[in-house]
Amino acid sequence: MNVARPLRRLLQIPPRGARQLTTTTLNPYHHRRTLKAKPESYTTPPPSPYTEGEISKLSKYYTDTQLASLLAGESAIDPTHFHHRHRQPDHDPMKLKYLDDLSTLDPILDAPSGPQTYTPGHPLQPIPRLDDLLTPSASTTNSSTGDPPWFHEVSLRTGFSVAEIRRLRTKILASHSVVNQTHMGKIRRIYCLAVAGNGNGLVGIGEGKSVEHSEAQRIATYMAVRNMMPVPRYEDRTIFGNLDIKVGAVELKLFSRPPGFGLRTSQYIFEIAKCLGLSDLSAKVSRSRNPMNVCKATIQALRSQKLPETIARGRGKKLVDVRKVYYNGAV
Amino acid sequence: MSLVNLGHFCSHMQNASRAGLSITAIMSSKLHLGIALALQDHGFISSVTRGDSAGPDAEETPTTQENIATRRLWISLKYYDNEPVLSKMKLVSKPKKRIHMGIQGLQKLVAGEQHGFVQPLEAGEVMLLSTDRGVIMEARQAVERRIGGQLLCRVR
Repeated sequence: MNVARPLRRLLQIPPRGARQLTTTTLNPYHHRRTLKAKPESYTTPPPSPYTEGEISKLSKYYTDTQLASLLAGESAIDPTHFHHRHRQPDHDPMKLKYLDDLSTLDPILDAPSGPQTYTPGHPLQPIPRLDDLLTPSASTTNSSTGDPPWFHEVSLRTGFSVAEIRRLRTKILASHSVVNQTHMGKIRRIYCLAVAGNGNGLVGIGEGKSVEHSEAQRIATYMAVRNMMPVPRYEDRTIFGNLDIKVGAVELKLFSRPPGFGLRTSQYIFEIAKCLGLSDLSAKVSRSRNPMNVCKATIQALRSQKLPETIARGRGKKLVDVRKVYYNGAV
Repeated sequence: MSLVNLGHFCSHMQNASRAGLSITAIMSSKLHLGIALALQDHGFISSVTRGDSAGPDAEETPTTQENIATRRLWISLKYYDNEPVLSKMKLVSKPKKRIHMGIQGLQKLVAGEQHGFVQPLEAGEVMLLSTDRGVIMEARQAVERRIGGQLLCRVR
């Protein structure tokens, strides 16, 4: 029915969100028989031209010039020739379907072009360095926006766009001076610990040390953004269950709380929870309360959450959230 | 009913899980068998086999006066996603202080509230108690049947 007029298929597109009624994937091992076009008699009536209503429907998907060229193309092809088209059979269903554009050389994956002279002790193909990509000439820097240069570097390293990095919530949580005794004397440097997060499931902490305070803060924030990792949240507002861990000398208890409870924790855990996007949490820190170690313990605790799905799979049991199923999320 | 030996059972399970053992032996007793079968029902361990101190029995061996000292229960542990399935097993009633709980208290524990000196059950946590029905039961099952008993151990 729509073999000779492919655009007709669009007119029969199911509405958005229609269910896929089968989970079976396409069979790559097509039998030779099925690839041949089914024999249809030449007495089938020629396809009718598109009606006004159909053209207006199609103009939802294509611009005017696109539509004109498509209709011209369809009318130029003889329907019998189109009917007898054969696709080359896929002899190798396991072959890779390349998505890369192989016409341009990739700086990391492709070998260098040009004459290569072998020097003993060195590899023939130079090992690609990430720093080559991070030079301003290699990348399109937009210095007119006033962003610090490390935004662009961390954007390249992490894959987030510069706009996303600008929107991240960052804060310096701890800073103190550290001294290193060398042959030149005592070298005093500032240490900073920063937390970074997008407020919606990503959080990370980073440390930076430098002679200058601002430099240490910059390094710490950069490392925090680089170290961001996804952390699971129950209903995007609290943690899964209660956590009770000991990291170094810090004994940390994190409690999952009902909706609307708020973040009733000490300042360091509060900031980390805000960056992550938790809204209900309670915490108790005993033994050591050293700010740096409390931050590290909090991140480790959040990453050590055991999801109910993992528990269920490990035990071979079904775990049901009574709050959702029985109380319909009301409690 | 010896809670001292049950305490050893709990510690040994935790140690064996942390060491990553696949099977481990515990003292063979009626209480331990009941606890082990309850753990298996709840998916914490995969099998419970009788055996002697060398290993599980290849074929069924009756317990007699000659071999009773060497009889053991062999338990095979489970691991998923690089983590042990049975990570914590702790006594609730201690030899010096037994804790009995009725239906009211058990309902509170299962609902996530503390009762007496017993902390509430976490998500996925299992509390085994001995009842007068003659079988070791889980707290939620006991609440369904409206009975209480002596709280033995909690597992997660």
